[in-house]
Parts: sequence; structure tokens; C-alpha cells
Amino acid sequence: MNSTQHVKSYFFFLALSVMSVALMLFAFSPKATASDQENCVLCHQYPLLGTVDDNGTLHSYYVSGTQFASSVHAEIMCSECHRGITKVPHEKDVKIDCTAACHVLEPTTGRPFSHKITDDIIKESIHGSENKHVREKVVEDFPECTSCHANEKQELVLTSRIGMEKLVMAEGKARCEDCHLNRYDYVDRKMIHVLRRTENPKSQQEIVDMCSECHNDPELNKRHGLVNAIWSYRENYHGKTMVLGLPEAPSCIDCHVVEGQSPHKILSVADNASATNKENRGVMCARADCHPTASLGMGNSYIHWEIDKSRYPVQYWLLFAFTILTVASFLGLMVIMVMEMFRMIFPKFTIIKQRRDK
Amino acid sequence: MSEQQPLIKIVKGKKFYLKLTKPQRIQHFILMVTFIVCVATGMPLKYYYYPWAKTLMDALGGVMATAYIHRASGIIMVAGFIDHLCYAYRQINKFYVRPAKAAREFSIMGLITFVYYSPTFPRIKDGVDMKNMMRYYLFLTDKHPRHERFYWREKLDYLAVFWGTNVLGFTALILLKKGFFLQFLGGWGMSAVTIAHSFEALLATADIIVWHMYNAHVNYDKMPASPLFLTGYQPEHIMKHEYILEWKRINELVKNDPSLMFDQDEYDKHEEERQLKQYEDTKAYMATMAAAVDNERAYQSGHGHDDHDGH
Ligand code: HEC
Ligand code: HEC
Ligand code: HEC
Ligand code: HEC
Ligand code: HEC
Ligand code: HEC
Repeated sequence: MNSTQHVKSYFFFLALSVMSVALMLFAFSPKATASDQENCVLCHQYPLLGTVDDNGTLHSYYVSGTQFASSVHAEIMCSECHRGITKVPHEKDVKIDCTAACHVLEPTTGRPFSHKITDDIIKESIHGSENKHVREKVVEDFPECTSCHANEKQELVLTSRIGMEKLVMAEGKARCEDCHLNRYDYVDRKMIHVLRRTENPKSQQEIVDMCSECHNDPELNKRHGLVNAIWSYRENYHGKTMVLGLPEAPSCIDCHVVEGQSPHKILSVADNASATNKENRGVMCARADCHPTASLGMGNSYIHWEIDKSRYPVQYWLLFAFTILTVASFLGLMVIMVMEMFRMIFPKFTIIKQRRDK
Repeated sequence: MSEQQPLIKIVKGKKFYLKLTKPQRIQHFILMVTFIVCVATGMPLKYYYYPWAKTLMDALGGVMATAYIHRASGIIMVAGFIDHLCYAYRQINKFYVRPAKAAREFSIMGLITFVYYSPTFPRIKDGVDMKNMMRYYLFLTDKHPRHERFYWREKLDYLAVFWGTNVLGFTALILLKKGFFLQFLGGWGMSAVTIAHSFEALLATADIIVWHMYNAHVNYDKMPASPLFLTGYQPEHIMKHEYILEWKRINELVKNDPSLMFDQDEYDKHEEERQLKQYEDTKAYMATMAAAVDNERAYQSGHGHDDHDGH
């Protein structure tokens, strides 16, 4: 974060003038939401708020209040995450720590909630740099929460929006309202909380996108001696059908996480406990919603292989041979065709005369 | 098909020569339809990353539906191939084995020779023809090679399909029962099978689109489309240009046995006559039937001629 110390606040003057107008309207601001007790959105709702760093990259500081209010973090105050922001104008923010406890009390323990459990799972998975199966311990290469859960558009920070209408079944809701009031969307929220976990809330494409940033990076793959898992997945029947829109097509976590375990518990192929370990693969393929009738031999199948002479020689040379065969036969036939058509233009002409015309 | 098709048909004064018999046309038709279906349902999977792939697949019923259509169509194609082998076996029996045995001259060498000279089997003459065709194309001679019923161009097509159906069929069987075969093949084998199926399909499609479509529908006076695959008959000017030896052979046969030729024009001329004659026959038939009741009554009551054989 060295560059942010030299941030050129091109937008700062613009922001200041906007801010002064905003402050005047302070009391009437309609966009200040229930969760925005600290009035952060008051300034941050302006889309032009941001800076350009030394590399010329734009950093937007825009936060949409309405979207934030419908996000999973709606009940968290900005400063609970942005602990470095204590006054306005701010000092430089500190790095956000997802394992820090917030004011929300987790009902089963009654303690302040934190993402520590998830963090521990990740630390023990192959995505923790201390895992014993890790091939190359390059700490920067390993994911943090935001590597997988960041929002590209920046307008909605660190959240996944909840399609409320879609998830709340009107019928079920009416039942809850026999006993509870839907005050502050209580019933909606609680229903969503449970319902959205009854299936993978993210689409297969979204999950593949999560992993693409790293596993599609040739440099990273080379450093860690990994195949390009994204390319190979797409070239595989599973990935092809996902791209073509088969609803049942498996995403990365459907194969890499043992059924019924945390989606963060992705283990190395070399790990005895992993779903993709040689011993466990057959069981993974034979899941009830996948290939229930398959023999355990199904696990021998290569899901990820790429065009690499040393690692996958059989595939490499076969592809090579077929490419030669296809191109050669295609070109050969084309040459004959062109020669023939050319000959037909000059049917009478010949260099050596052999016909004895009557 | 037991009924003999005429070797030459005359329609509107033009001669047409038999090239594909009815069972051959049926085989071709099955192959053609299943091939098109397999390509239409398979290529979107191979080229999933193009936008048309999803469009085409959705139009055909989605990923699952096309998967089943592809399999069904492939199974019919292989069945057609097996039927073709049986057909070849029957032809060998009919034209060599049984006649040769009747003449007590059957020998393995004779059988091999017969197969070697059967119309679609590659032989030395094809090599010679091909060489001379190249010389002709390069303006090194003005003598166009003289071909029989099928020459190297068509034989290449035939061999490609023969080999292609085998490769595609066997790999498809393995892919269809992947759980079973993976136990023996392992990951290498399986990805090799997948590559082979996918690339062989591409090779076949490319060759059909470029080579076969060109040969059968574009090349020499066949534009825009040759109806040969539906009618089985080839017009005389194409026969003379491309299949001069076959043209001569058929002419020779017809000269010896004129019943092998069918003159549609002549036939059509006597159409009214035929109808009138048919009408006479039909009326006679109806009269017989009308008399049957009275005859039967008379027979049962003891009168009339007792012509029943007694059972
Ligand atoms: C008076 C208007 C205003 C208010 C209120 C405000 N901010 Fe900001 N904030 C800004 C401006 C302007 C910038 C960009 C200027 C800069 O680079 O320091 C900024 C930058 C930031 C940054 C980026 C800083 C960095 O180091 O990357 C964060 C994070 C942030 N604000 C969070 C908050 C939070 C949390 C609150 C509520 C507690 C808040 N802001 C309230 C105006 C405001
Ligand atoms: C659940 C924790 C959390 C909450 C709550 C939260 N943020 Fe953030 N915010 C983050 C994270 C994580 C980032 C990304 C930081 C990074 O990329 O280094 C971020 C980034 C930002 C940025 C851009 C900073 C930069 O350097 O690019 C701004 C501005 C910001 N948040 C403002 C807010 C405001 C305003 C609120 C309250 C409405 C808020 N945040 C609530 C976690 C949170
Ligand atoms: C390697 C990528 C990756 C990393 C790193 C990661 N996650 Fe996840 N996370 C996922 C995936 C995949 C899912 C499952 C999404 C789905 O099933 O739709 C998920 C789901 C979640 C969920 C939703 C669970 C639910 O049932 O609602 C939470 C909360 C979560 N992650 C928190 C975190 C936290 C906190 C961190 C950092 C400690 C983190 N994640 C790091 C990939 C990741
Ligand atoms: C028959 C009446 C009744 C119905 C219907 C009902 N609840 Fe409840 N609910 C209660 C009572 C009483 C409690 C408190 C006692 C308890 O925790 O069991 C409660 C507790 C809860 C709690 C825990 C609150 C806390 O802070 O511990 C949640 C969440 C909840 N209900 C959600 C729902 C949802 C969502 C529905 C609809 C799917 C629903 N309830 C339907 C009666 C009902
Ligand atoms: C921030 C980068 C990053 C992201 C995002 C990421 N990974 Fe990884 N992944 C790694 C690194 C680094 C390794 C460890 C390589 C090593 O062993 O040195 C790894 C290893 C793995 C392995 C274990 C390979 C083996 O058998 O040893 C799997 C499986 C895996 N990742 C799956 C995923 C999936 C699925 C996602 C998306 C949900 C994902 N990764 C997202 C960086 C990432
Ligand atoms: C159909 C199940 C399946 C899916 C879907 C799948 N994988 Fe895998 N993955 C496997 C299996 C099995 C292995 C181990 C054997 C192999 O390399 O093929 C593996 C191995 C890996 C490895 C280690 C490769 C190496 O170099 O050793 C990584 C990394 C990985 N997968 C990431 C991913 C990512 C990222 C995705 C999503 C884009 C994904 N996988 C989707 C089954 C799957």
C-alpha cells in the first residue's frame, strides 16, 4: 500500500465542494439509511468520489447507500470494518480484518460475531500458506476473504446483494406472520437467512469467476506447478455444459469440497481427506445428484489436463497427430479442388499433347 | 431388393445410368440424416465458446436433450454401418460364393480377388488414375483418366466414412459406458478417447463439407445440387465425362440384354392403352365376384359342379 501514501487527490476538490452542499442538506438527506448512523454515506454516495494513484489507477470511494442497506453487511457499521477511520477528513485506513468481532451477537454463543471460524477453515485448507501440502509458499499468492468475495464494480463493497423478492416465498411468509410482525423486515430477513443457504446461492459462473483471478493466471500456475484449472475445466464436459447453461453442471466447489462440508474447505489432491484425492474421487463422482450409478473407476478420469508435452504427453501427441491429420487432409483436398477448377477453365490447353483427336 | 432396377432409364429423350441401387440409397440416407443430426448436436459442445453454440443448443432443446439426441442418432448411424457390412456380406454371397460353389470353383483366392474388384474397394488402378489425374490437372497431358463406377475420389470418401464410423463408434461406446471403461483405461486412455472422438468428428465434418459436397454437388456440371442420392441415376453427360468405362460397360450389358433398359417416354406413350386394358380386367373381376353368391347357393344345394377338393 505504498502508493496510497502519495495519492494525488484529483477528486478531492470536487469532493470538497460536493461535501459542503451535502452538509447543508445534512438534516434532510433521504439517502441516509438506518444502518448509516455514522453518516458515512452522506459523502460516499457521490459516484465521483475517488482518487488516482501514482500508477494512474482510479480508486472509487463511491458507496451506494441503498445497495449497502440491502447487502449482507447492512447491519454492520462502516467503522466496525474501517477501523482506521476515526475522523473527517480521514487518516489512512488500516487493513480490514474479517476475523475482528463486530457488535452483532451470534445467538448460539451469545458472543460478538466474527468470521474467525471461516478464516480457520481456510487456514487449514490448501489456501492457507501453512498447509503441509502447499507446493510453493509464496504468501501473497494465497487468497484472503476479499480475493473471492470482492465486488468488482466497487459500488457495492464486499457484499452480495440478496434478491429479496425472489427468495422470500409469499406463502411461507404469511405463515410466519401468524405469530411474528414483519417489523423492520424481520420475517423477510430471517427467512432469507435460512432459505438462501438451502442451495448454493451463487451461480456456477460466479464461483468459477471467484477462482479465475488466480487459477487462470499463468504466472501463478507456473510458480505453484499447477495446471490452468479454469481453462481445463472449461474444456472438460462439465465446464462446457456449464457455459452452455446446464443448471446441474458442477462448479469448482461441487468437486473440490466433500459433500456437506464448508465451501472453504478446499484441500489438496495430495491430502487424504480431500474430495479429489485418488481414493475419494470415485465416491465424489457417484454423488446422488451426479453419477449415482457410476463405478468407482469413474474417479480415474482427468478433469484438468492441458496441452503440456511433459505433464500430459499422451494427450499432447494425440492432439498433435490429429491436428496434422486434419490440416493435411483438408489442405490436400483443397489443393486438388483448386487444381481441378483451374483445369476446367482451360479444358483444351495442354503442355504435352497425347490425345490423337479424330 | 429383389426386383431388378433398369441399368439405363430414358426420360424425355435423355439417358440416365444406374449408379446407386435402392438399398445403397437407403443406407446413404440413414447415414446422411444421422450424420447431420450428430454434427448439429455435437459441434455446439466442441465449440461451446462461440455465441452460436448456445443458441443452436437451446434451439435443439438444451444440453440434456441434445445429449440424448446425439446418442440416439449415433446408435442409429452405427446400426446403419452394421447393416452395410451385412449388405456387403450378402452381395459377396450372391455374386461370388454361391455361384462359385455351384460351379465347384470356390476358392479363398477367388473370394479375395472378387472383393478386390468390387466397386468400392481401393486397387492399383486408383493409384494409376490419381497419378494421371494430377498430370492432367498440371496440364502435362490432355488425356483425362477413364474411370469405372467409383473412382479414387469417391473411394477416398468411402474409406474416410468407413474409418470414421469405426473410430467414432468405438470411442462413443467407451464414452457412453465411461464408468465401466475408466476402470481399465485410466485417465490417459479416457482423455485420448475424448480427443479422438472430438477430432475425428471435426475431420469428418470438414471433409464432408469441403470434399464430399464439392464432389457430389458442385464439381463438373452438378450445380446446384445433384439428385443422384435420391434418384440413384446419373445423367449420361456426367457418365461420359467422369465414368466412361462404366458407361461403356453398361451400354455393353444393355446391348446384350435390352430388358435392362427402361424407356420412360415409351412407357408414358402407352399410358391410355394400359389404363383401358386395366379397366377391362377390373370389370371382369367385379363380374366374377357378383356371380359368386349365386354360384355358391347352387353349389350348396347340390346343384352345380363339385370342384372342391373335399377337405
Ligand atoms: C465529509 C465527507 C466524508 C464523510 C462523512 C466520510 N468520508 Fe470517507 N472519504 C471522504 C473523502 C473526500 C475521501 C477521499 C479523500 C482521501 O483520499 O482521504 C474518503 C475516503 C475514504 C476511505 C478511503 C481511505 C483510504 O485510506 O483508502 C474510506 C475507507 C472511507 N472514506 C470510509 C469512510 C467511513 C467508514 C466513513 C464513516 C465513518 C466515512 N468515510 C465518512 C469523505 C468522507
Ligand atoms: C464488512 C466490513 C465492511 C463494512 C461494514 C464496510 N466496508 Fe467499506 N470496505 C470493506 C473492505 C474489505 C473494503 C476493500 C478494502 C481493500 O480493497 O483494501 C472496503 C472498501 C471501502 C472503500 C474504498 C477504499 C479503498 O481504498 O478503495 C470505501 C470508500 C468504503 N469501503 C466505504 C465504506 C462505507 C462508507 C461503509 C458504510 C456504509 C463501509 N465501507 C462499510 C469492508 C467494509
Ligand atoms: C477460495 C475462495 C474463497 C475464499 C478465500 C473465501 N471464500 Fe467464502 N465462499 C467461497 C465460496 C466458493 C462460497 C460458496 C458460495 C456458494 O455456495 O454459493 C463462499 C461462501 C461464503 C459465505 C456464505 C456462507 C453462507 O452459507 O452464506 C461466507 C459468509 C463466506 N464465504 C465468508 C468468507 C470469509 C469470512 C472469508 C475469509 C476468511 C472467505 N469467505 C474466504 C469462496 C471463498
Ligand atoms: C406458531 C407461531 C410462530 C410461527 C408460525 C413462527 N414463529 Fe418464529 N417464533 C415463535 C416464537 C414463540 C418464538 C420464540 C421462542 C423460540 O425461540 O422458539 C420464535 C422465534 C423465532 C426466531 C428466533 C428469534 C430469536 O431472537 O431467538 C426466529 C428467527 C423466528 N422465530 C423466525 C420465524 C420465521 C422466519 C417464521 C416463518 C417461516 C416463523 N418464525 C414462524 C413463533 C412462531
Ligand atoms: C488469491 C488466489 C487464489 C484464489 C482466488 C483461489 N485460489 Fe486456489 N490456490 C491458490 C494457491 C496459491 C494455491 C496453492 C498452490 C500450492 O500448492 O502452492 C491454490 C490451490 C488450490 C487447490 C489445490 C491444488 C492441489 O491439489 O494442491 C485447489 C483445488 C484450488 N486452489 C481450488 C480453488 C478454487 C475452487 C477456488 C475458487 C473458489 C480457488 N482455488 C481460488 C490461489 C488461489
Ligand atoms: C468434475 C469435478 C471437478 C470440477 C468441476 C473441478 N475440478 Fe479441479 N480437480 C478435480 C480432480 C478430480 C482433480 C485431481 C485430478 C486432476 O488433476 O484431474 C482436480 C485438480 C484440481 C487442481 C490441482 C491441479 C494440479 O495441477 O494438480 C486445481 C488447482 C483445481 N482442480 C482447481 C479447480 C478449479 C479452479 C475449478 C473450477 C473452475 C475446478 N477445479 C473444477 C475435479 C474437478
